[in-house]
Amino acid sequence: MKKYYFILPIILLLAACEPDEVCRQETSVTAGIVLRGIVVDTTWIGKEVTTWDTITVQGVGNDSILYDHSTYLSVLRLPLRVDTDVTQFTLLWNGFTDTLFIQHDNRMQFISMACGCVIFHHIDSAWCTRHWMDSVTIINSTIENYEQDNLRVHSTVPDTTWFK
Amino acid sequence: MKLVLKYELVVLMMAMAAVVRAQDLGIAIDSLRMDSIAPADTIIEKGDRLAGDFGRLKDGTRVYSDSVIYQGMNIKLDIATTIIEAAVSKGKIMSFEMAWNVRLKQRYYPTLELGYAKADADANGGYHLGQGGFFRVGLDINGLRKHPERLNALLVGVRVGTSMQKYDLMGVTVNSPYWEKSGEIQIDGYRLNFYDQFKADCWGEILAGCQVQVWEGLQFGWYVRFKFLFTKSVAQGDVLPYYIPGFGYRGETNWGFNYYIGYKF
Repeated sequence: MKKYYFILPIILLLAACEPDEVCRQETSVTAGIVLRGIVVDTTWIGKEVTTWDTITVQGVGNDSILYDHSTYLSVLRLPLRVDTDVTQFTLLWNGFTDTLFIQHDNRMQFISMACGCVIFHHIDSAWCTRHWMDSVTIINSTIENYEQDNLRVHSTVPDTTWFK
Repeated sequence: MKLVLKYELVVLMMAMAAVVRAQDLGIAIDSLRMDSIAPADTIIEKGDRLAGDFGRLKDGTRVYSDSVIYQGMNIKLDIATTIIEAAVSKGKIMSFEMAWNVRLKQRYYPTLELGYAKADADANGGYHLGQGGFFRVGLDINGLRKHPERLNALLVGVRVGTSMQKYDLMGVTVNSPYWEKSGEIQIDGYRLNFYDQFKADCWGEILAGCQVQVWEGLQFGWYVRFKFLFTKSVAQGDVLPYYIPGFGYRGETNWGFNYYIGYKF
């Protein structure tokens, strides 16, 4: 039995070199949307908020809801379409609904056999309807992972006490 | 394996002695190999001219000239890459390579390595069918004491490698899980095919190894190689091959191991 011991490290060496047949990395990218909002109470005192609270987000043309009354989010992670260069999302916040438009290009990047292709994006412009959103600014136009912040939404909205 | 290693060690030790360099004895060297002056292995004395590689003193000691530049060539066939690549890839990759070098001044080995590889790999429902050739050029330097008859060498060297391959990538997934569910998007079922792709790659190598004379011109030897890819940048829309002939699985760096069987001519 002893004489076969030298085979073990060789097998371990070969096993360590085995290429991945399972993808072990993130293969989709998202646009990060942050908020700079002013919530105004009935005494017209405004309070700056930077977290999305009780937000509902859905892609236009998709039945699936991305965020459903989600609370205390510092950033929204929105996947962009890979088949067209404009992606739309509806955002319901504090009882108001707005649509966010993002114009972008799509750049395919082959990662590996196991991971396939990832579509990266570059944001050309962004705009919105103005029910509760004031404007959208581009922070970082390149979308190549799922961690960065790309757009900032500016908004001024009355708080819920206005409706009581 | 243990037996071979022991034998290699003995041969390496034997390489350290046996003959004397002519210059150390004050014998003039004529590297033009003019037999009319002094044929090889004839009896020579101090102050004589030595033509060719060898001569012999009156006491029987052989002397040699290390001023002869060209000292033969070697052909080597690599068996380790073929076995390792096939084992690691579970038979999906076949790689063959051989090397040719010349021995200059008992120390320098300009080398040319040629090979071919074929990769029929699949993963996650996608297929890579590629094949191509490669070559490397470079230089090895022998760290052992010079010896005219022993071919043993401890080598360090560098290489520059180039490969060219043609490949097909089929069934490559496109990742967009949220919009995929919408039913609006159809990019060939979210799988793409790329046919008749061509890619040339270039890389550098630093290597170390040895060669041992086993019997007359027959040699065994091995190299460990560290490889670093030069062609890392990716053009927009490029789908890169999974495997690079002569380099290995695509990545910024790679390791390689060769075990050669060679013959000196």
